[in-house]
Amino acid sequence: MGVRSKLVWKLGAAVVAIMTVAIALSGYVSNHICAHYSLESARAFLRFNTESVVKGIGRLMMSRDNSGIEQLLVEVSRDSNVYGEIRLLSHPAGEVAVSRFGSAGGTLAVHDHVCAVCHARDNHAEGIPVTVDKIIHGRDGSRVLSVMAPIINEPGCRNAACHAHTSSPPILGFLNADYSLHPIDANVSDRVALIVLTVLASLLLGVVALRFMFTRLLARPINGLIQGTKHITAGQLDFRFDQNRHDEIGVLEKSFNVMTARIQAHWEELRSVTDYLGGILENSADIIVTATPEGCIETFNRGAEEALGYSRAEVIGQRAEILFADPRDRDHAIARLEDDAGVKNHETRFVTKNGQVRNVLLTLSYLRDREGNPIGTFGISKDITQEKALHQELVHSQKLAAIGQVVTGIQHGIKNLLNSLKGGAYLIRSGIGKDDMRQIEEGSAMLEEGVERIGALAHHMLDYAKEWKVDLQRIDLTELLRKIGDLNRPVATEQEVALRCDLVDGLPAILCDPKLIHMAATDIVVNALDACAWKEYRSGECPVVALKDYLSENGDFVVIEVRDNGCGMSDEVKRNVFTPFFSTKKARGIGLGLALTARIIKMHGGEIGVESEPDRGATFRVHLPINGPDPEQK
Amino acid sequence: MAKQILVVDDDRNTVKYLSVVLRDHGYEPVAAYDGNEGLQKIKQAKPDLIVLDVMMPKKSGFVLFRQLRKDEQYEDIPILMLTGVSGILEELEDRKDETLERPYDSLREALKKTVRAMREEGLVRPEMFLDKPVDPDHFIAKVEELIGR
Repeated sequence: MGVRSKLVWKLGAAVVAIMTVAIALSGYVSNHICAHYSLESARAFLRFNTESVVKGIGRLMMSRDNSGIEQLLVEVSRDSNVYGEIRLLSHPAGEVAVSRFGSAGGTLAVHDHVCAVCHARDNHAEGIPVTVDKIIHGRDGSRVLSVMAPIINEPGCRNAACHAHTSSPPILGFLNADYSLHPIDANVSDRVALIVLTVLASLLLGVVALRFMFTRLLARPINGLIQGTKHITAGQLDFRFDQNRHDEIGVLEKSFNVMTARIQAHWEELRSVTDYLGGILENSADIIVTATPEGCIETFNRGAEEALGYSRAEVIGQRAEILFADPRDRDHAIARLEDDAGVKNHETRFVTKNGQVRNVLLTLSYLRDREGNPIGTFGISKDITQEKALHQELVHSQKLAAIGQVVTGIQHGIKNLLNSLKGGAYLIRSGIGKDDMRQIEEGSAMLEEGVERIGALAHHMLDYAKEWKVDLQRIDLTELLRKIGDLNRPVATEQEVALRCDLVDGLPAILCDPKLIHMAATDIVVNALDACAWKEYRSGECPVVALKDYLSENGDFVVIEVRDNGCGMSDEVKRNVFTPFFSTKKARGIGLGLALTARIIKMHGGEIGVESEPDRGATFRVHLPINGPDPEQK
Repeated sequence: MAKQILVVDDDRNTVKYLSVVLRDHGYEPVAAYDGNEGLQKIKQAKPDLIVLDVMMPKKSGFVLFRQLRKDEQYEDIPILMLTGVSGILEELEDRKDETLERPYDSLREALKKTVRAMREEGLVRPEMFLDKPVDPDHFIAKVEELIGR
C-alpha cells in the first residue's frame, strides 16, 4: 500500500507542480499583456485628451479669455478622478495658469518632475513639438501619468493684436496634466487575484482528477500486480493473472504469468528431485546420518531411528559419538577419512538407545560444497548384527557338517573292511567244514588283508590328525614331478591309461618340504588315474592323464596341473572332494588322500582347486609359492 | 540244475565271499568286477538273480540297474543291491528325511536322492537292499525269498 501511495503521490505532485507553473506562467503573461495594452490605450487617450484641452485653451487665449481658461481647466478636472493635477506652464519656466488644487505662480526647478518630462530627454535642445508623458509616483505612492502637451508658438500667436510674442521660442508653454493610473492598476490587481484564484481552483480540480485517474489507471493494476506477487511469494505458484488488459500492464501481467509458470515448473521439478532423493535417504533401511564439521548430528533417517531406537528429535544437535559403542571409534574413522579418500565398509559397533550393541559396516565420506570445501560428514551404516550371528551359525553348522562327513566316511570305510573280515571268517569256517584247505587259506588272506587295511586306516587317521612338521628345502619341482610320473607309469599302463608329462625345465626352484609335496602330488595323480578307471569310455576314446607345470602369471607361484578325462565329478562330489573321509571309492580309498593333499598345500601357503563336470574329466591345479609359506603362517 | 546268480562288485574279496556262500547253498555264482563286465555276463547267460554293488567303477550299480529295468529282455531278473550306507530305505519309508534330516551327510544324501528318484519311477522295492557287512544267513534268506532254492 505504501509503495502505491508513494508512487501516486509522487506522480501527482509532479503533475500538480507542472500544472501550477504552467497556469501561473500563462496567467502572468496574459495579465502582463493586458496591463500593457490598457496602459497604452490610456496613454493614447489621455494625450489626445490633453491636446484637445490645449486646443480649447488656444482659442480662449486668442480671445484673451483668461477666466474662460481657468473655468475650462476647472470643468475639465471637476468630475473626474483622472486628474490629479492640471497646470498651465510657461516656458522656459514658471507656472502661469492654475490647476484645480495647485497654487498659481511660483517657479519650477529643472529637476521638478514636470520639467524632467522633457529635460531628461536627450533631444531636449531640439525642442519638443509633440506631446510627451511619463509615469511618476504620486505622493501616496500610486502611479500617475504625467502628460505635457506643448503650446506651440503659432503664427496666430505672433500676429495677435493682444500681445506680442516673438517668433523665437518655438514653445510658449505647456499644459501639464497628471492622470492617476489607479483604475488601471486596480484592474490589474483584480485580475491577478482572479488568476491566483483560478490557479488554485484548477489545482484543486487537477489533484482530484489526477487522484482519480492514477487510482483507476495506475494504482489499481499495480496493486493487482503487487497482490499477484504476494501470492507467488507466499508459494501459491498456480496463481495466474486474468490477462484481460491490452496495455503495458497487460504485457507485464503476461510476463508475470510466463515467469510464474516457469518458476512453477522448475519448482515442481526441484521438488520431485528433492522428494526422490529425500525418499531414498529416508526410506533406506541403512542407517544414514550426517554430521556438521564440528561432529554434531544434523540428519538422522528413518532407518537410523528404527535400528538405533532414537527419534531424530532426540539426537539432532547431539555429538555423533553417542551412537558409537566406543566413542573413540568415530575419531579413528574420521582420522582414516583424512588419510584416505574415504572409509568404506569399516566394521564398527553402534549402541542403541537402550544400550544394545549393533555390529555395523560404516561407509563414511565428507560432504562438500560446490567449491569442494567440507561442510560435514555423511555416514551410511549397514546393521550386520544378524548377518554376523547367521554367519557364526553357518560356520558352526559347516563344522558340524564336516564332522558328520567324517563320521559317515569312517562308517563307510569300516563297513567295507568289516565285510572283508566277515567274508574271511566265513571262508575259513566253510573251508573247515568242507575240509577245503584252499578256501581256508583264501579266507585267512582275506582276514589278514582286512586287518591290514584297518591298520592303514588307523594310520591314515593319525596322519591326518597329527601336527605336520614342514622341512623346507629349495628344490626343482619339475624334477620331482618327473619322478612321480615315472613311478606311476606302470600302474597307469596296467590300467591302460596314457600318463603324459608336459614339464618345463628351468622353472625357479621352490621352497617346500619335498616329501610332503611328493605325497600330495602323487595323490592327485593317483586320483586322476582312478577317475579314468571309473569311466566307461566310448570306442575311439582313450583314458589320458596329463601332468604339467608352469610359472604363474605374476611369477610368484609354480603351478602343478593334473588333467584327466575320467569320470569327472558332480557338484556334490566337487564340494566335498577335499573333505576328510569323503570317498566315492570303497576298496582302495578311505577318503583321506585329497583331504591330506589339500592340507599339505595349505601348509605351504599354496592353493588347490578343481574344475570338473560329471563324465568330462577333471583338472586339479596346485599353486605353490616359490618362496615357501609365509613365515607367520603355521 | 542249479540257479545261476551273478555277483557284481569291484571289491574282489566281497565277490569271493558271496560266491562261496552261494555255492555252499547250492547256487551257481558268476563273478563280475564292474558294471560293464556285469552287463557282458548277463548278455552271455541270463542269470536267475543279480547281486549288485551300488558303488562301482565304469558303471555304477544304479546305472546298470536302471538299464536292466528298462530292457524288456532283462526287466524281470530280480536284483539284490549291496550298499555300504545303511538304513537309507528305512529313512525313506519313515519319511524322516523331511523332518530330521542330517544336513551334513552328503554321501547318504546323494544315495538317498538316487533311491528316491528310482522309487518314483517304480523301480525300487524294499527287499532289494542288503547292507554291508553282509551276514551269510541273512543273505541266503534274501536270495531264497527272491528266487527260491
